[in-house]
Amino acid sequence: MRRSTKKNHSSFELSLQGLHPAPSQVWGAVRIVPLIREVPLKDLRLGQRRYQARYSTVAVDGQPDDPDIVYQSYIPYGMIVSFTDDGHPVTSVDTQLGRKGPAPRPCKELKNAALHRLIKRESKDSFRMLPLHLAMDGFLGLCFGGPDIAWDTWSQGVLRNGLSYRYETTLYASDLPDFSEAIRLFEIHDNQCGALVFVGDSFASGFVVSHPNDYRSLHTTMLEDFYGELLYYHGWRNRNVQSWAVHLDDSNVNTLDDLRASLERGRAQWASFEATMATGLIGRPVNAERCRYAGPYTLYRFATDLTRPGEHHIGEVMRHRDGTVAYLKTYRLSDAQHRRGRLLLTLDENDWELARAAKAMGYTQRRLRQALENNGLGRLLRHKSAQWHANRPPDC
Amino acid sequence: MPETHAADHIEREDLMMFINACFACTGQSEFYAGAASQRLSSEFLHAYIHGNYPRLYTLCLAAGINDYNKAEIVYRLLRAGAPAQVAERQHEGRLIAATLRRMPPQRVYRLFDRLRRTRVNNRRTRAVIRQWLAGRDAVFDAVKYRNRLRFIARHAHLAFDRLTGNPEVGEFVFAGARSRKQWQASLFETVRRAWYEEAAIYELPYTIAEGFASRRRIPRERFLQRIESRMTVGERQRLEQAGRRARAKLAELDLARMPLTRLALYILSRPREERGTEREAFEAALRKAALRALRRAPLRLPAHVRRVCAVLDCSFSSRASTHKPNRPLAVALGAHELLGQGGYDYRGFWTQRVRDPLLVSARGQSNLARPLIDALRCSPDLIVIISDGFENDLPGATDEVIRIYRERIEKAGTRTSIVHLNPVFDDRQYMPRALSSRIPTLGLRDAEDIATALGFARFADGTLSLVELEAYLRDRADDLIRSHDQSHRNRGDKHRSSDKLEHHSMEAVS
Repeated sequence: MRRSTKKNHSSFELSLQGLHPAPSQVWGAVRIVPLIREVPLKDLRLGQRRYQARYSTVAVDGQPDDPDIVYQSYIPYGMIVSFTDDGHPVTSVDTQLGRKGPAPRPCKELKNAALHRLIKRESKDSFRMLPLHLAMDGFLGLCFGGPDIAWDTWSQGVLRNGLSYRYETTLYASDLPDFSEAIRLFEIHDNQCGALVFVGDSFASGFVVSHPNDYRSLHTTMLEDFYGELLYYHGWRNRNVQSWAVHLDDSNVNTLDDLRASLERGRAQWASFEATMATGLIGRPVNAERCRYAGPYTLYRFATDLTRPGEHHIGEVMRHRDGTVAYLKTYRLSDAQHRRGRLLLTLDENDWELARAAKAMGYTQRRLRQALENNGLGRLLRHKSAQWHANRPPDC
Repeated sequence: MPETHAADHIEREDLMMFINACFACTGQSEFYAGAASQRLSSEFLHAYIHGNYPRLYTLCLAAGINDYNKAEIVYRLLRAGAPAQVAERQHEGRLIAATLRRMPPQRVYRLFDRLRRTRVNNRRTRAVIRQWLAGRDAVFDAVKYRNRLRFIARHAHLAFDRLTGNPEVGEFVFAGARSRKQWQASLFETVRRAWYEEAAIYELPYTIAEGFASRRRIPRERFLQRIESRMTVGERQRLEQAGRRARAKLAELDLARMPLTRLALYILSRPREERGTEREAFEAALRKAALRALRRAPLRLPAHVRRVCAVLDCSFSSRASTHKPNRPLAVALGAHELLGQGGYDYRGFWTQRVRDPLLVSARGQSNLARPLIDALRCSPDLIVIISDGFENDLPGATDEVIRIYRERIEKAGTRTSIVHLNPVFDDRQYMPRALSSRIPTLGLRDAEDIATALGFARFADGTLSLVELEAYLRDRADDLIRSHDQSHRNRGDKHRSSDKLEHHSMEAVS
């Protein structure tokens, strides 16, 4: 059973402290807003490690050969995080895996790879993590323990083993229209440390790293992440995202210096306007679970409050003590995924008692059962006999 | 003379669009578009202009366009048949002959093959083929282009003995090198010997020798070292990388003989450390190449121009594609050098902070407005913007800057001309993409062709009319025909092909 200690949980507002946006680049359905860091963070560096397996199994709890909980997915790469405690720049070679770095360790094409833990310590100042899979594991593990009291609503399997298995389906980046082209054609700024990706002008994903060199080498890993199907529909519905031509304010412009100032003002306004399209996540409070300390930084995985309406995202963030965001990676939940999460959370808050949970959601019990069936959680329910259905209480 | 008739206005704009496209389009992949869509747009343009303005379409052969489009125009003209009037027919025939004479022979052979494949076989086509082949060294072509010659001979009903006066050529082309025990022509004899002995391979032209070498499995570095003297300049430059990889001890590449844009492409292909260590050699070679280009085609700017500034695009999109790596950046670097040596007070402004142009690389976003403002600060008489036109760090900012400058800042009496030269063809707009409609946009083929492109600037922005454009093109066509007749008269000695150094000459270049 999954144990989650409440003291690891906190809630804070997700911000892009330390970064400012620059004008976006548009290709087809995809808009990418670059995030510029004036002062790169040298005491936290991120590198890549490639995995060749077609499918990977991560032993989240327990030993690799005898795991208690496993997480399975297609994991093409992992991230090596190196840090220093005292603010000195990181010097280890592992994190310099850029395009010119050492070749990735040759490794046969494995059918199945076994990894131990989502975050695995490598040395005293580095660890290997699986970006986005960490957040997805948190989402899949919501209420994983299942009911504590043996209500007769729930099936025997759920009572004994908890939710036992949870799965979600996502899309490859290549399924989203124009996405691979947009990433390939993107012109990376010199100090760029992050990007906000919008598909069909809806916020898809945020990606931030600590140092511009790391960003350059990790930019194309955005093609290997997974994305929700909501973005697929948004992309196809809004196939040619607008790229407006700027109109500079020409009142009071009489010299070239004025013109230069007007241009810079226009750039700043433009960029900040585009960044406001991401307010579905940026500036919102999120529920975070602390996963790891890395020097002065802390790695959290978070999810937005699923019980409220609106956009929903899950992700990972690494924040400095003073709030600067050093690393961020988010995933936008599709509507179905959000509904499943909300149902599970509501059930959990109400001790898995169906009547109370239905009342909390404003449903009848029958409606709640229907909702569980419709959203792929019907296997949690105990199969009732025909006699029960004939004689059931009216509000069930 | 401003145009009064709307149809003339449209015709002039169409022609300028076509000429610009023919400067820039090569049918290869660019950064933002693939080869197929480039070719599709280019073919549409050719069909449109040929259908609507046939006389002017023919005259475009002399406009200084690139070889890809010249071949396309000649193909369409031959396919369409000769014009009805005798005078026009003769003029067109001489123009075609002059064009083909100046094109590299491999392109002409490819054009003839295309005529054969698409079954174009009228009397004029056969006459053109015959006439062009009569001016070639038959023995050399029979060795180097044997297959193509055979297909074309069947298609155009060529009689080799009447055409060349050498009875052996026909037999060599159709029956092969080993059909006789001994050949009179020495090159044929060498080819025959190359089937049996290795030493003869190294006396053949490079492309033929390569085939023999792979048959005998000669190690690459030994082959490259020994065949080096038989390579043309272009082949030698192309094989520089291959030579390094095979660790062949090739002689130093003669940088001083490379044309400007090709030299810039070579420099950009070297890693930064090498560019730093070989700095003097590269800079000297760039200077010499720029001066040579200026001698051949001087800039001839208007008399009042003293100060020239350039805005140069080194953003990531100037990396182009694997078909033409770094080409827009090389054109920018070449233009920087050329304008610097032009004798004007010159300064160049890049989209990134470039302290040393020799170490420039394609990085960063396309921010053209900032360097444009820096250039305007110098109050130049002419600003040349060299960019592929895809501006993303504020799309449309250049247009706005020019608008505000012209409306509010520019002093009455002074006029800074701004011209946009674009080496990349945008298939969606059927012309090189324009940064702003307020300035003329012109296609740019090579850095050396800046003078030609600027010559068309007055037509692009409408100061001169269609009648003058036609007259200008006609003058250029007459110049081309005249120089062709001149060299035709001196045809006894050598064939000199003037445009690009990578043409073949009779003797192999060492």
